[in-house]
Amino acid sequence: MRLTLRRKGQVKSFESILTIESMVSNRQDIVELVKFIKTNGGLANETLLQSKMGEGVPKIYISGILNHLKSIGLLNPNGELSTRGSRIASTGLVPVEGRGQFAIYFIEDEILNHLVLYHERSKNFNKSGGTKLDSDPFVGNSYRSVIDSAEFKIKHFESKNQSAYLNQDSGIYELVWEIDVDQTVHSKIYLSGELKSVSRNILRYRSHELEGMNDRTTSKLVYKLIEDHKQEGMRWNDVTECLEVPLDGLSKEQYENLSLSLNIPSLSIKGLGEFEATKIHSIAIGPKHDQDAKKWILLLVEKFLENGYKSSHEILGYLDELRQHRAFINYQYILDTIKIDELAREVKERKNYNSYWNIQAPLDLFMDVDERFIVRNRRVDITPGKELSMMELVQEIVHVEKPETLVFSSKFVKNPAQIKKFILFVESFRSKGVKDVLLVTKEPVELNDNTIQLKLYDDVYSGVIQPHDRYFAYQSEGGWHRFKMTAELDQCRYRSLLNVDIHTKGVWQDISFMEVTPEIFPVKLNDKLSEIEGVHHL
Amino acid sequence: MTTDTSYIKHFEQKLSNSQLTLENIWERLNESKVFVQYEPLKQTVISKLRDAEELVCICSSNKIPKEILQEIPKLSKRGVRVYILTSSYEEFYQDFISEKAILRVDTNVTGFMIMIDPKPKLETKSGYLAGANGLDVEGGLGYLGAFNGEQLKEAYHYFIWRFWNASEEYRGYREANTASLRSPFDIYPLIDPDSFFYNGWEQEYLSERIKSVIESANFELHIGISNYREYNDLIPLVVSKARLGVKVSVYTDLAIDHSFIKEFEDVEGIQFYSMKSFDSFFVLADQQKGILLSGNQSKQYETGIALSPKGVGDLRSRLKASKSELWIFRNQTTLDQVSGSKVIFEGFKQNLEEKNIKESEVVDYGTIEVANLRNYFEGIIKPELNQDKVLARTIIHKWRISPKMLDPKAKIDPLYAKWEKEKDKFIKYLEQVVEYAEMVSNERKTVFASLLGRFFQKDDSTDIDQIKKELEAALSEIKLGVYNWQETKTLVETIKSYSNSLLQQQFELHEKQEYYEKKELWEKENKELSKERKQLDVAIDQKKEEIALIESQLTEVGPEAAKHLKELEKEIMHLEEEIVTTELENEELIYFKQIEQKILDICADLDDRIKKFGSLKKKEKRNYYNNKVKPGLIENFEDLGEIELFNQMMENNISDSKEIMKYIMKELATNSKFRVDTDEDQEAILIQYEQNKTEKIGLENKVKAIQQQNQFGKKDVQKKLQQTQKELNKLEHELQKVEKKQERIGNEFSFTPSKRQDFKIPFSTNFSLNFPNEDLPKTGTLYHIGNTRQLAIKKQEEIAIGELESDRLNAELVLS
Repeated sequence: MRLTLRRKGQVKSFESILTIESMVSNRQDIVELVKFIKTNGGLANETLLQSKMGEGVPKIYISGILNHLKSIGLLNPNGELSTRGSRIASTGLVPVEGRGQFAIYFIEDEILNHLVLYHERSKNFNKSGGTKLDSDPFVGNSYRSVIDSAEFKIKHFESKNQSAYLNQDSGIYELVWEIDVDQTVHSKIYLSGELKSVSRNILRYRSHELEGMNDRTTSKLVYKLIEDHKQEGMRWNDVTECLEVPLDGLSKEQYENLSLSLNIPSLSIKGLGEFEATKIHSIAIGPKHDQDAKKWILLLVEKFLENGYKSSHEILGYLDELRQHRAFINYQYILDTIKIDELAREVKERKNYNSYWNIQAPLDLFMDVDERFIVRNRRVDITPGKELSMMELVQEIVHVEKPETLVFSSKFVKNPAQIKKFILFVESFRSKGVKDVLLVTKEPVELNDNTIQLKLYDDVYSGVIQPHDRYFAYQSEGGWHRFKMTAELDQCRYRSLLNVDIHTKGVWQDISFMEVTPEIFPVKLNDKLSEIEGVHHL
Repeated sequence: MTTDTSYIKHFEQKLSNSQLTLENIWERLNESKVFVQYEPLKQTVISKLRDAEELVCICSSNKIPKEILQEIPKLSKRGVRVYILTSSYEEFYQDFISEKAILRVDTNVTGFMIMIDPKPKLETKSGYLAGANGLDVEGGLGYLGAFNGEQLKEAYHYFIWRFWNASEEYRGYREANTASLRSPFDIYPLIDPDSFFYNGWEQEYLSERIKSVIESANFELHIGISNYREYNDLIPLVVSKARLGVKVSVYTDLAIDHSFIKEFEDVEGIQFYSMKSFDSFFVLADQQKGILLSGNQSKQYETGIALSPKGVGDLRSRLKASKSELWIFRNQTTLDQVSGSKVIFEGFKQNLEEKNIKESEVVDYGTIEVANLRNYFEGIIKPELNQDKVLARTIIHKWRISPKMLDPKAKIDPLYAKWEKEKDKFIKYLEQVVEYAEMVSNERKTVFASLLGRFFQKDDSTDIDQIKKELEAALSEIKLGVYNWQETKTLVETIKSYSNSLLQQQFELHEKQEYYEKKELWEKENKELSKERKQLDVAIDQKKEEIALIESQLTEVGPEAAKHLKELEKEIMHLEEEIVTTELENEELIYFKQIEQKILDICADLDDRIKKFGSLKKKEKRNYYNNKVKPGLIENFEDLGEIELFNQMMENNISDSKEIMKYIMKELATNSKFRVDTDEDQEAILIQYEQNKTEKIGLENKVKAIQQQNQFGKKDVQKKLQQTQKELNKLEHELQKVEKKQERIGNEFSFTPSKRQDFKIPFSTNFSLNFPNEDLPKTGTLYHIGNTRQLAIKKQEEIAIGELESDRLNAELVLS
C-alpha cells in the first residue's frame, strides 16, 4: 500500500543581527590537524603535536594550538578528540562563527515545525520596522541549507529584545510525504520550492530529502485513510489487512493482482495538517463472501492456466498458494473442496479454451510410470489422511538397508514449510546412517545445515528438459536405490511447524514413493550418482 | 511442288513380333478378374471415431483427410477431446481443430494410428495402425491393424511420449508459444516394448522384430515395405532365406524407386509385385507370424505391431484377392510370354512407363525417295524393317516410294538454245547461199539473154542448178529435223567452194558484160571529141587574127612622145649598166652596207618598241614582248643569218622584257661584226651607187607617166582587146578540155576490168558453225537447276535410253 501526501506553504524570513556558525571547508589546517590526531589514537598532547610540527616549533605555540582546539570544542579538556572534532575529521568541514546582519528564511509547518531553510547576509536592516520575534525555536538548532546543503546553526541573537524585521511572503515550499506500508523502511519527506532572496531575487530548490524526520507509524494512518475513504460495499478487514470488496465491478487487473487504488480528496489530519487530494495505491483486496471467493479463485486459476500446460500437481500447488494468501485466508474451506477435473470443466464452460487445454491435456495425456520400471516391493503408497511421522516413512522406504549417501531432487524446496519437511526427511535418513546429502533444487535456499551440499537445477540439468517430478536416491552397500515421488514432501501436514521433529506425526495427502529402474531416472541425475560413487570409491 | 502424288507407290508387309524381348517390365496379372474393393480405410476410421466417449488420439504422417477432420466438431460436441500428432501442419486444419482439438507437430511421426479412449480407466478402448498413405488412397489393401490390450497400452505410451516431445503446437485459434509447449510432467520413452515396436535414434526395436519374423519363415515370406532402401540390411537375410528354398514375395508401390530389385538379381525364388496404391506394409512369415508396419519414407521412427495368426490370415487373403491389381516383375521375357494387354517398363529411378500391348501396330517408314529411277519403276526399294521397339504382337510395315522428280524450279537446259541458235544460223546461211545461187543463176540468164544474139557463149548454168538443188535438199532436211548434223562440216566446206565458184561465175559474167558495154561507149565518145576539136581549132585561129588587129590600133602613139620615150629608155639602160657594174665590183662592200642598214633598222624598231612599252600595263608587257617583239626579232636575226647570236643573247636570262630589248640594242650597236669600216673612196663609191639607183627610179617613173598619157582616148579599143582576148582564152580552154578528154579515153580502146572487190558474195563466206560439244538428248528433256542437270523422262519405256543419255549428259535422271 503506497501513498504520497503533499501540501504547499509560505516561506517566511526575518532580518536580524546574529551570530551564525557555519561549517566551512576552507580550514584545511584544522582538518589536517584533527585528522592527524584521529589517526594517531585520538588523544592529543604536546609530544604528538611536536612530532607533527617538527622540533623547531617552540613549545609555547604547541600548547597554544592545544588550548585553541579545546576552546573551540574540538578537543575535550583531557585532550581527547571530541565528537565534534571527529566529525570534522570525517567531513572536512570546520565550524566557523560569523556575526552580522543576516536574513533568515524559514517555514512554519505542522510536521516540520520551525525549519530554517537558508541564511544570507543582508545590508538593508530596517531597525525601526522590526517586530518582536520569539527566538527560541531557532537558537541552537542545526539546519542544512536547501540551496547549497551547507550545515549551519544560529548561535544567538545580538540584541536583547530580539526584534527583527519579519517578512511573511518570502517564497513558497512544497512538502511531499511518501509512505509505503509494505516496505520496512521509514516513510520519506521531501521539500522543494523557491525563496525570494534579498540579494539574488528568486532561488529555486528541489526534492530536498529531510533526514531523521520520521518515526511515525504510518500504516495506521494509511488504514485509517482507507477506512475513511473506501467505497460503498467495501469492508476493511483489520485482521487480514485486506479490503474486502465485491467481485463485480472489479477490473481484470484488480482481481488478478488482488489489489486496487483509492482516491483520497484533499484532507486535514489532526496534528499533521492539511494535504492535497491523493491516491492510495496497491491496496490488498479480497472477496467479501464465499460465492465471490469461489468465483475469484476460478478466475485466478484460469489466469494461472493461461501460460503453459500445468500438471495437477502444479495446480494443487497454486491452490495452496491461494490458501495462504490474506485474501482467501478466511475461505480455505472452499479451496479444500476444489477438484481439478471440476476446474477443467468450469474453465471450458467459460470458453477459455487456452486455459482449458492447459489443464485438460495433462489430465488426458498423463504419463504414469510403467509398472515394469517400478521395483516390486519397494513402493510406498500413502493413502490420504494417513498419519505418519517422517521417521516412519523413511523406515518404510529403507527397510533394512543401511543408507550412506542421499541425493534429493525437487523444484520445490523453497518456502519455510518445504524446507522444514525436507530437513526432517534428511534427519530421518541421517538417523539411518546417511552421512553425505546432496540437494538439487531450483533456487538457492538457506538450509542452516552446512552438511547438506546444494546444487542448482540449472547446473545439474543443463542442456536437457528439467524434470518436473521429485526424485531421490540413496546409496547402500555400494548400490543405488532410485526413487520417484508422485508429490512433494509437503503432502505431509503438521498441526504446527514449531517444535516438530522426525517423530512428529503429520497428516499425509496422496503420495507414492516408488523405487524405479535407472532407465526412467533422470539421466543427468544418474550421472550425478555415478560421480558421487566415483568419489566414494577413492 | 506438284500436288500430284499419283507417282507414289505403296507397299506393305506383315510380320509377327512374338519374339520381342522385354526387359525389366511389370506384367499385369489376371487383369480380367474383378478386384474386390474393400471398405475405404477412411470410412472404417470414421466409424471407429464415432465410438469414442472421452478421448481420441490421432497420429498421422500424411495429410489428414477432411472427412476425418469433419468428425472433430462432432466429437467435441460430445465432450470428446481430440489430440492429433502430425508430421506437418496444414492451414486448413485450423477450422476443424479450433477450440476442439490440440494438434502437435513431430516431424518424426510415422504412419497412421488412431486410439479411441485408450486410458485404462475408460470403457471403450481400441486402437488401430495403418499404412501412412492408408487414408489417401483407394483400391489398396485397406488393412487396418487392430491393437490388442498390450499393444494399445504401449501405443498410448508411445503417443504421449511423442506428443509431449513435439516441437510445434496448434490449437486453431492461435499458435501456442514455445514456452507453453513443455510437458508439465516428466516424459519417459517407450522402452523395451513387447508388442508395439518402433525405430528410434538409439533403438531399432522394429528392425529387430522384422528380422526375427523373417528368420522364422520356413516356407514362404510376404514382404511389403514402403522403402526397401532404408531396410537394405534385411536384403542379405531375405536372400539367404530364398536360397534355403523359402518362397519370397516382395510387394511394393509402383511409384517408388525399385532399384533395390537389382540387389536380388540372380536369386531364384524371389518374386516382385507392385500395386498402384500400395497402402499396407507388413512382413508375413508362413501362415502364423507377421508384423504390420506403419510404412514411412524413413525407417527412423517407423512403428509396427505384431500380427496375430488371424491378422496374418486376413492380410494374406487380402493379398490374394488383390491379385488382379498386382503387377509382377520380369527382368526378361518375350512378348508371347506376356498374356495381358499392358506392361509397365521399369526405369529404375526414372519414371515408369505404362504401355498397352497392341494386337497390331503399323510402322510407317514414310516415303522413300528413290534416287535411281529404274529402282523406282521396278519397285525393288525396301526400308530396313525394325520392330524391336514396337509393343504389338503383329507389325504391319508400311512404306511408299517416290521417284526423283524434276525439280519444279528447273529450267530448260541452254543446250537447246545453243543448238537452236547454231541451226538458225546455219539455215540462214544456207538460205543466203541458195538465194545467191538463185541470183547468179538469174543474172546469167539475163546476161545471156541480152548478149546471146551478138556473141556465142558457152552456158555452164547446170553447175549452179546442181548447187542449188543440193543446198535446198539440205535445208528441207534440217527443217524436217532429219538432217544429219555430222555432215554439216562437209557441207559448209562444200558451200564455201560453191560460193567461190558462184562468185567466179558471177565475176566472169560481169566482166564480159562490162567489156562489151565499155567498148561501145568508148567508140562513141571518141568520135564526138574528134569532131569537137576540129571545130575549136578553127575558132581559135580566127580569134588570134582579130586580137592582132586590135593591138596594132592600141600601141599607136604621137611622134614626140615616141621620141622622148626612146631617150628615156636609153638613159635607163645606161644607169642600169652602171649599177650592175658597181655591184659587181663592190659586192662585199654593198653587202655589208646592207647589213649595217638592217641592224640600224632593227635598233630603230626596238627603240620604238621600248618607247611604246611605257604605255603598256605590266601584265600586257610580257605578252607584247613574247607575241610581237620576240618573233620579229627572231625573223630579223634569221634574215641576217645570225640566229646563233640571238640565242646567245637569250642565254643571259634577263627576265624583264624591257631590259632584254635594251640589252639586244646594246649588243647589236656595239657588235663590231656589223660595222663596216669604209675609207673615203669606198664612201664615194657607195654614194654614187645610191645616186644611180635613185636616178634610175626617177626615169622609170617618167616613162610610165608618158605611156599613161598616150592611152587617153583609146578606151574602146582597149576594151575590145580585152573582150577579144577573153573570148580567145575561153576557146583555148575548151580546146584544152577536149584534148584532155581525148587524151583520157586514149587513142585505142583498152579494157580494164573493174576491181574485183566490187563483186562480193553478198554474205560472209567466213562462216563457221559453233555447235555445242554435246548432242541434244535422244529422249526426255534436259533441264538444269543451278549447276545440276536433270534429264526428265515421262515413261518407263524411256528408261534405257534415258540412263545412257543422262550418263552422257552428266545429268540426273528424273521423272516429270
